[in-house]
Amino acid sequence: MAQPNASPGLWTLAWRRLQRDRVGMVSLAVVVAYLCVVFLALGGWIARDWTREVGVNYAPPVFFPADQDETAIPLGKSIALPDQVDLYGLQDPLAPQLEAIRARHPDEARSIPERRQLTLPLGGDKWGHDVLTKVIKGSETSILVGLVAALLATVLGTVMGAVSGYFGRWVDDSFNWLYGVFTSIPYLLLIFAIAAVLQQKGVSTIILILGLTGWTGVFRLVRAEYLKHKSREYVLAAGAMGASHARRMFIHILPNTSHVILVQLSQNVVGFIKSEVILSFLGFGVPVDVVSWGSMLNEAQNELILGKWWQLAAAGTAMAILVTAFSLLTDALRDALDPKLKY
Amino acid sequence: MLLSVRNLQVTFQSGKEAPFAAVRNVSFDVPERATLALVGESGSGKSVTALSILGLLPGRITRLGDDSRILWHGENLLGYGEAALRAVRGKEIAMIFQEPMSSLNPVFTVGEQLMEGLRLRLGMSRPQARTRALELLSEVGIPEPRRRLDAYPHQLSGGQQQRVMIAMAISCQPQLLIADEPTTALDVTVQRQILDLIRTLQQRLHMSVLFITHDLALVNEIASDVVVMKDGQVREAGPCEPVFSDPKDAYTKALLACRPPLGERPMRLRVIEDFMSGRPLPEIPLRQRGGDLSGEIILEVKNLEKNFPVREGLWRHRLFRAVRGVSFQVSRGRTVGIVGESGSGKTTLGLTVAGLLKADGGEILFEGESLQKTRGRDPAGFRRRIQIVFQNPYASLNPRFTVGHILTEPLLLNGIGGTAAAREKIALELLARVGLPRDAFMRYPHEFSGGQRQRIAIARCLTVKPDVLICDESVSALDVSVQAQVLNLLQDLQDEYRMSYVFISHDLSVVRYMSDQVLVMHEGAVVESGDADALFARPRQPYTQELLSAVPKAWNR
Repeated sequence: MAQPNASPGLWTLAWRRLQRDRVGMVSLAVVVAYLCVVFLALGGWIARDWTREVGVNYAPPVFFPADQDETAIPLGKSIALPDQVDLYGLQDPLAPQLEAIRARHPDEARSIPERRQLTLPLGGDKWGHDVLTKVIKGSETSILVGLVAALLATVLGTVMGAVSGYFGRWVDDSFNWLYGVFTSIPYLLLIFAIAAVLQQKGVSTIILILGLTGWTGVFRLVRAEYLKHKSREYVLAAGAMGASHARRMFIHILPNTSHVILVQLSQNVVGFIKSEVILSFLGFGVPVDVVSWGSMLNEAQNELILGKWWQLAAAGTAMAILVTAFSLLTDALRDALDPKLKY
Repeated sequence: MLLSVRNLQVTFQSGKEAPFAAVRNVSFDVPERATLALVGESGSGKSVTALSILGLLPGRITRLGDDSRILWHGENLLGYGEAALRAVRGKEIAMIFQEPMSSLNPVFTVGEQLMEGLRLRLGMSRPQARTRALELLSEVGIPEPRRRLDAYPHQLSGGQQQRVMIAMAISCQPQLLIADEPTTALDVTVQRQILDLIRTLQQRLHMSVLFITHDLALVNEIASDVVVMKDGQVREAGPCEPVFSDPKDAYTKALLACRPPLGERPMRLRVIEDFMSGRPLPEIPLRQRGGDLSGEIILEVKNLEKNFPVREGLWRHRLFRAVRGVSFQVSRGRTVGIVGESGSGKTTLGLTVAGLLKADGGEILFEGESLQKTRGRDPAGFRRRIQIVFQNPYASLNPRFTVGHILTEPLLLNGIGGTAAAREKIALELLARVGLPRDAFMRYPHEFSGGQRQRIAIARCLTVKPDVLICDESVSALDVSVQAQVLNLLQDLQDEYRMSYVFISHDLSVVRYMSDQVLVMHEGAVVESGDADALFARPRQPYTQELLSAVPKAWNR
């Protein structure tokens, strides 16, 4: 069949409206840039070796002159090992073997002169890790935690809100009871409780904690939307046609609440990135072999006493830019997806 | 002359969109102590004209023509600044709107809202304002004004709310009252009372009224002069009597003709195109309705009851009996009309018969079998064979589905058509049948007008080949010219498929036109029923008589 003049769908229209919003487009570009960085870091193309100690301890950022105190090792100085180690006049019992190995692998078995940078682009931390690499690797962890936990919370909240609002009566009452319980227990107490039950540290634990505690906001809004829509005439008409409850809930009503859900999703992402920092601060954060913005800020606490502010600045700025861009994008998305604003 | 509008031109432009000329070169006069009616369908520019008189249009997107003038006592209001306009608004020119509920602030009592205007504009003290507010309430005919003064808007009925709005409007004794569709949201008996009130007040307070309406029948009741507008232009203007008895303009003729006449029942209603084409009008044969209804009974409703629990206090519930013991029969290919005012239970009855609400008592028999016994399961597909067309064409179509999706979904759900291509073919045929173009298939509901959406809703019902179609106020939200087209379509479909209709409406002439048999409902019960023509010609019950006498008597044709 010839399909003449297919008209733009609501998503196309929303995209057009978003394009007209300059602030929205800039924030979208920033968010996409961050996502690209996360993707590259995940694939191991960048920031794979953040654990390498490339600089001197607390190497300052490049635009700062390097400290000339005794702890700093001058650039380019090689620490050459003596050919034969003689400690306290004793003959090294393994010296002949070492000689043999050296003879067999003349290139590899030489002691490598270690080079440490005096300054790094964004400075170095206590062990001389490059802060720039850490920020990039940390954004991978933080953004992933934020995205996955927000997805989990949103799916949970949407399904529960839909069921609760659509069926009403005792179903609604029981979900509302659950909602009441979750919102009346102090947030931190709830997190401690879930962490105690899960009994292990790690990225997936953080995601579970945030996802299981963060669904309440989505639930409230989606439930209200379903209450509003379930008695709309298009839903009644679908019922008269023989559409099942599931079909009415998820095929007819869900697309009409998508603007609420999407905005909640992006607000949750922002909120959870911040929560990860708080969790790290409380000791429920990522394990020591993983870096996140939260763990960086946590380390920065002690560094600040020594006047080493660059790790805090790097992680804080990276987070602030993303959170701001994401919030602005959320506002733009809400306007673009609202079917009542049409032009 | 009190108010003269000269060459009014209003153009809206937002962003990079093409400018839209809402009002084009409109001129008319409102004489002192007279009522002028501004008549037109939606989009005719009548409300925009009214709002521009008070300078209430959104300034950012509004462009006025260079030679546009709105002369108030000879002075051009369009040249006034915001402060000067505020002095005119309310004090010299007052306005009332269509929705009284949304015009009143729900968190303040009626008295507070009345007194606010009096104290601000006339500088009265609190006790003075309270006394005056009491006077105003009794002047607009609100019973027990002393008690009503401390009532909140939601505690009043729609008619009383509109009376309060009128009281606020006349509180500063304006010289001109602009009434924008003041009775459209009200029942026919209440409409009659409000019209009477406006007419009395106009004479007693020596003011002029600019009455804006889409209903030509009302004009004859209230106005001495009329201006007919279409697409932002004046089509015809003059004193009511010559305009209605001998309309010169084709559009005015069409508007007068497309309402179902109360006396006779033509085969089909004339539509705008018949008149605008300029061809001579063909004679339309009359349709026979009523008569012997003992043919094949397809649907029978026996003593139907439907209750809603209403919360009273903290724990107690009271049952609100929305439908009380209603019985009727529908024969194949015939129409049962149900009339009643808002709150009479007619919509609840329709939803219950359609199976969308569970009945609390009584029986619904479809082809002799009880629908209640099927208990959720519906092996014979009876439910599907009763379909419903709703009132609001904007809410009854899912805004996120294309029309094609809307039409093919019921086919898919009921296993009709087999393949996707076959379903698409059926949907396209139905689109053509209800008079929509082929490319509507790929479009979204928001791209269609109200009448077109109602056609889509009808096509959706037709997909499952229903035997009974319940039309719940299906044409009430439409302009009269579109209403005629949809009514014609419904009649054609009835002839073609031998469908039975349950036609629910508050509009008596439409129900009479469509029905073989009519039920009059009041407070959930059937007050009177019988053959449509007989019932309308000789109503026996006092309630029916009151209802019929409240219908605005149009011109004599």
